[in-house]
Amino acid sequence: MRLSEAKANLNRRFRIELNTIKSRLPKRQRRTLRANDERMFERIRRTGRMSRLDFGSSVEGTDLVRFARHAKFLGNGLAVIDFGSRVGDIYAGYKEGGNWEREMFIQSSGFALSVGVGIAVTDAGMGALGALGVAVAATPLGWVLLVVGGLAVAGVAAASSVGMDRLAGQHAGSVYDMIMRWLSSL
Amino acid sequence: MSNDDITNLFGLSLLALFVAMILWVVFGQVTVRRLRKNVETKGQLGFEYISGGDIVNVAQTLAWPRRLARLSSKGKVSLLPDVDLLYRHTTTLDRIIARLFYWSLITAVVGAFACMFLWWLIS
Repeated sequence: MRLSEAKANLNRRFRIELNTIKSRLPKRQRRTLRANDERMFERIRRTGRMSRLDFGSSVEGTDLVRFARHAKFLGNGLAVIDFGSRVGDIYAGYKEGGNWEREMFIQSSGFALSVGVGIAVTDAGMGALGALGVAVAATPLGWVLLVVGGLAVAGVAAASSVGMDRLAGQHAGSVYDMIMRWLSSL
Repeated sequence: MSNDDITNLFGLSLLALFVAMILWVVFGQVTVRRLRKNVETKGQLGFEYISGGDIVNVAQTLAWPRRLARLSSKGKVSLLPDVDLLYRHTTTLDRIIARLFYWSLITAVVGAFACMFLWWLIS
């Protein structure tokens, strides 16, 4: 998202909207409105077509963009730590002379499952939130509902990601054994 | 339903996941890399909270029925790319890979959830 571009775009659309509404008013009111910015703003708010996210300023907008960057950094960092600990587990199994191929299968399917499920759930949730946004953003509680929905999506994604890792830890081993049995029966 | 049946199902969803992971990279290299470089679509590929997340954003937008995707990407808050923008900048091949990738990923996810539920049910 190019923030400055988005801001310019917003301002342009706002001006167009102002003009449309102004042109619908009787001439006398139009004159009053032009003289009084605050009343004009109030008047437009009352038309009920204002349902955008109100940033206080472009500074708040920049903060939001920075948050998105931090979220990405955090997400990548967590994946790297997770991956590192898995490699450690496999290496420990190898050093102890255990069945490290089996351990590698379990760990890699756990990693792939939790990442895949986490991302798929989050993306489906973002799609649902977008559709929900159309429905609720116009109501006074709209933004509250969207934030709650966002937290719910993040929570469900995190929980299912952790759950998938546990599932793989418990059952991927038997899938590995099954594949090995099938291979040796060929 | 026995434990072995569920293990089979789990194995199948791991297989679907394996296919999805390969297509993930292929779709990323074939389509999303181009979109990331394109001036018009650069930075418009949705909220990327983890590297490669935008690949799924794009795939989902192309794989969902167009009307549904439009509904969710043209709302007041959109964390996903714009549908019409993506359709303008992708070819039929891109969309086929996107759909194969996205639906194999979803098959794996649904299968894994089903296994989780079934194991919980029989335990």
